[in-house]
Amino acid sequence: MNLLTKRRHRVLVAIAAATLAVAVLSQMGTSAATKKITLTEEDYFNTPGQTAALALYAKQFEAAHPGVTIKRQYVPFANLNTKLLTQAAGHSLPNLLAVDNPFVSTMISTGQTIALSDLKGFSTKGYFPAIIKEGLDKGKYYSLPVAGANSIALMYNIAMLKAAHVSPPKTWAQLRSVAKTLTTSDHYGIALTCEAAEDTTWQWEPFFWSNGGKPTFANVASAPGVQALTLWKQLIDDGSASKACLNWSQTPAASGQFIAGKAAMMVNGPWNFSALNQGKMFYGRQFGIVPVPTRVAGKHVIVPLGGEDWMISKSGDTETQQMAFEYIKGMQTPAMELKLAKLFGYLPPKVAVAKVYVKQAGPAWGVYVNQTLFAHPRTLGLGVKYPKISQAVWTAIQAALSGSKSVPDALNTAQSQITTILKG
Amino acid sequence: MPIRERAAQEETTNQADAAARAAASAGTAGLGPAAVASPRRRSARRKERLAGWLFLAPAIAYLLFAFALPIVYNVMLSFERTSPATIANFTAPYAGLDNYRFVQNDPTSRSAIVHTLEFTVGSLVGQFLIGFALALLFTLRFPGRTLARSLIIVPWLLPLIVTGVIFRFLFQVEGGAVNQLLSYVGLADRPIDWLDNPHLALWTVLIANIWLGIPFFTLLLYSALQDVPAEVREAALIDGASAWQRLRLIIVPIILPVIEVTLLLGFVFTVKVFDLVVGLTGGGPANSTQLITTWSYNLSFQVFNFGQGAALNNLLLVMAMICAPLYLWLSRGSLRRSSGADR
Amino acid sequence: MTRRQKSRALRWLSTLVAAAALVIVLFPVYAIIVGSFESTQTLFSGTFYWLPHEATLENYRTVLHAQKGNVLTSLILGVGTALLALVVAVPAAYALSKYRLRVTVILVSSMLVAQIVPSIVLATSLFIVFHWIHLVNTYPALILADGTYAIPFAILVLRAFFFSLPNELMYAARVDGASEWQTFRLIVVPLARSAVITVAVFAFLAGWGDFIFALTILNGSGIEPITLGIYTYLGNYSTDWGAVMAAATFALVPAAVLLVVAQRYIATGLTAGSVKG
Repeated sequence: MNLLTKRRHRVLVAIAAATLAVAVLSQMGTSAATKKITLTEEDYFNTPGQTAALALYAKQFEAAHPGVTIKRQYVPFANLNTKLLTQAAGHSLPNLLAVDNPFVSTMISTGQTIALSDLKGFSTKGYFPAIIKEGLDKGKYYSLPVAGANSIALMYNIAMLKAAHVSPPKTWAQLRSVAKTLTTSDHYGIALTCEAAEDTTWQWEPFFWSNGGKPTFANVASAPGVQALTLWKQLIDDGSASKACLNWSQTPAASGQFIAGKAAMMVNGPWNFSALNQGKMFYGRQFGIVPVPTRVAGKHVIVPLGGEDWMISKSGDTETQQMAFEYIKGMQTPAMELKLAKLFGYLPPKVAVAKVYVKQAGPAWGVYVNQTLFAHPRTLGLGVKYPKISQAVWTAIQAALSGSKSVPDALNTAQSQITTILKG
Repeated sequence: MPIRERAAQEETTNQADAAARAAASAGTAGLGPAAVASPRRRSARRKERLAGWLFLAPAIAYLLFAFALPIVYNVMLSFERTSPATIANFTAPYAGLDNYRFVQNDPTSRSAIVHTLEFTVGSLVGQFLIGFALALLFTLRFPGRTLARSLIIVPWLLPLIVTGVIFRFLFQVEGGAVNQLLSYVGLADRPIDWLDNPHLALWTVLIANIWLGIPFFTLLLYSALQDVPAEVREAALIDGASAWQRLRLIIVPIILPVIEVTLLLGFVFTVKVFDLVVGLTGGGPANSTQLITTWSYNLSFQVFNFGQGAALNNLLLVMAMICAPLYLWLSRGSLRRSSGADR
Repeated sequence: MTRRQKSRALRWLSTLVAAAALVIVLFPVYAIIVGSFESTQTLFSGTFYWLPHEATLENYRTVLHAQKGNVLTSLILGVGTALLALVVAVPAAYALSKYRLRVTVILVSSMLVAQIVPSIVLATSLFIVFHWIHLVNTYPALILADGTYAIPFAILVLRAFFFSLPNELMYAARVDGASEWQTFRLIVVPLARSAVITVAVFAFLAGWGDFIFALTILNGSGIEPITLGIYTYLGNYSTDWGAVMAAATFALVPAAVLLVVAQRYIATGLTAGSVKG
């Protein structure tokens, strides 16, 4: 009896040990193959197309990388930068962030993002230099484009111009007279953006920069700036542009005016194509595009470079960071770039892909391609100083257009602020 | 003990207690006469003090948790030279009074302070007058009174972003309902640029803020008016007092504590208005609607001078520290009566 | 006119005045409801329509499905904030008005200083604190944050109401042998019902309407109150005003119902019928 029990006992122990060993070994095996990684991501993309694209890509990525989950959070445009700064203060940025390109330098300087060029598989080959340079700091690259780049040009309502017997303006003088002619009781000649935000400076930059304005705004109170701001003031004083622009964003307020037929022209970008189409406006039939007019004929137009960039934060271990980079890299393939560019209304960030895209995308892109190829990145050489300079500029624009200051006074105030900023 | 002596002893004890209570409620540490009070009184008071502390414990804990750290952090920030590079660290290079000097000299900061004061006073006057009038109205019994009282809160059910959007919509220069109405009625020959005119924009925001504050004043003052005993009101009626006299001499003194606290809190809430201004004008046009809160936000999150933003914000703390003793002094009578100085 | 005729005329005049006041006060809300039935294009057309122009249900179709969870979330936050405010503020207000404590001055001053700090300032610090204690992305964190709108305010307001509570009631209770807690719970709180409910209503609305704390403290957690949900339609590249208005209208309904119910309890005053003379 005793012997049997002892043997049974030993057998039971052996079985238990074996089961335990198998369990442990199988766990080790699984953990090596599929460690659970969650990638958190924040951005401000909310059009149905953008949301669908990101969701689809996330699903594909999760399928290709078992164990990885993507958690995306949409943050309203006006609040994303603040939220990111708050999270930087708390050392808890999401793994992936998509920021508007003038904000990249600021995020770099918080010290809470990592250099992508340190990660495996990073390459700047094939990109437009301007796009890649946005994330360059002390020899390292901190960002890669989300969907590409964009810029602005002058859009006009074909029917309205035809009815007024005018052709699209090429110079400032033409712009002024055409806008005046186009102003009727039904619609304004042009819809400007002059709210207290970055898109005002952004819209004014082609006028200023193409007129000899320095990219650093160091000469904003000299002739280039005075002339450019005077043009805008004249448009308002002539009645060709509504003073309500003081409260209008570029999109959707000003663009909404154009789409609703309340303005004959607007300075805006290709991301509006889908909204225009929805409003039954198609390129070549209802609306046309020309470069932003310059003061004298034939001058080279310099436009600002727009778009969003991916960055990766310090949160998470090296494996998570590398996985986040894989996520970004997956969007940089030619196929993905074409798809995203189309959905976002941007120009793909790689030169070769852009060439293909333009062929596919059609003539609406003709003007934008040339503009975007040579667009100027706003933070180049300025870094964190750019947002401060931009604020000084839009404040001056608002002061002049609202009538509280004369154009020279407004620009002089901005100039002294900008000089201080550039020095510090 | 003969009754007379006992009464005398009670008298002395009462007087001593009154003195002690008066001293206590004035915040000084007078314990003298109370120390010789009877043991029964001492243990009762100790029981009260213990109960008082227990009742206060959750509030004290909450205050420390939710407010102490942010206030301390903000004060620290205001003495530092800050930038995005320093935001991720708890401390940054010391900057002395530089940030405060900046606020003192910066024209936009100064006009933000002026705007805030104009805005607050204007709001309080408008909100109080309208709120009190409505509260008085609701004390009368008329058909639909309960419904009206319930509906008056509806402005508060809207998220502030929606309020900002709808007011922007209604005050649009062309096609805004307000301008349309004014032209029907014939009051305006040209559309008024409510939100696009630097001289008008602040008043437009003020109108929106008064609208937003009406439920607060109406409800609180109405609740207070409920306290006025019907007998008192009727007695005054019998005595032949006119409605205005009744209001001024009977009702207002009774509800004075609530009026004081409502104005005080109205001040505090108005001085820190933020979302409404951002939704309506974003601080423009040309910074004509910048308030302390919006400009401070701009300094911190638009140009990343967190220290300057903090310094400007601390002006609000200074305002609160001025209001507090003022309010305490005004309400000292109520406190004395209420905490039993006449026991 | 006889006395009765005069008072009847007065009553109807009051209804008229109240109706006029309500029309003015509720007009923006009416505009939102009208707008919710219009397309974004109509809203942009530059004319204000007093009745829905080319009415459409498209906005509601967009919004109802996406936001119904969010309305529930907002309700939870509102009720949570109200409960937190009551639990913390009612006893504190009582102590600060009825007891002779030396800390009264310090505490009342602290409430005022606390209440004046803008939420955006609190949000940053609270986020960092919640991150330390691993409470981000939770309902308790949001409710604790929303309490900052309501608790100091509730304490100060209730304190003012408690001033007018007659002390005889409490002496009587004490003489009868009631403990402090019993006095508080069984005598004071029921009498202050009107004020307590008013304060609870405000606290509910604070939690219901909060945006900045939700934005700062939530990170893709699946908790989304209606204030954040509305922002789905307000973007840099596309804005659907019609949907915004529909979402706001949709959110109005449950909150309004809750508040009408609560209002019934603010019927009687603080001391009606309890003390003679």
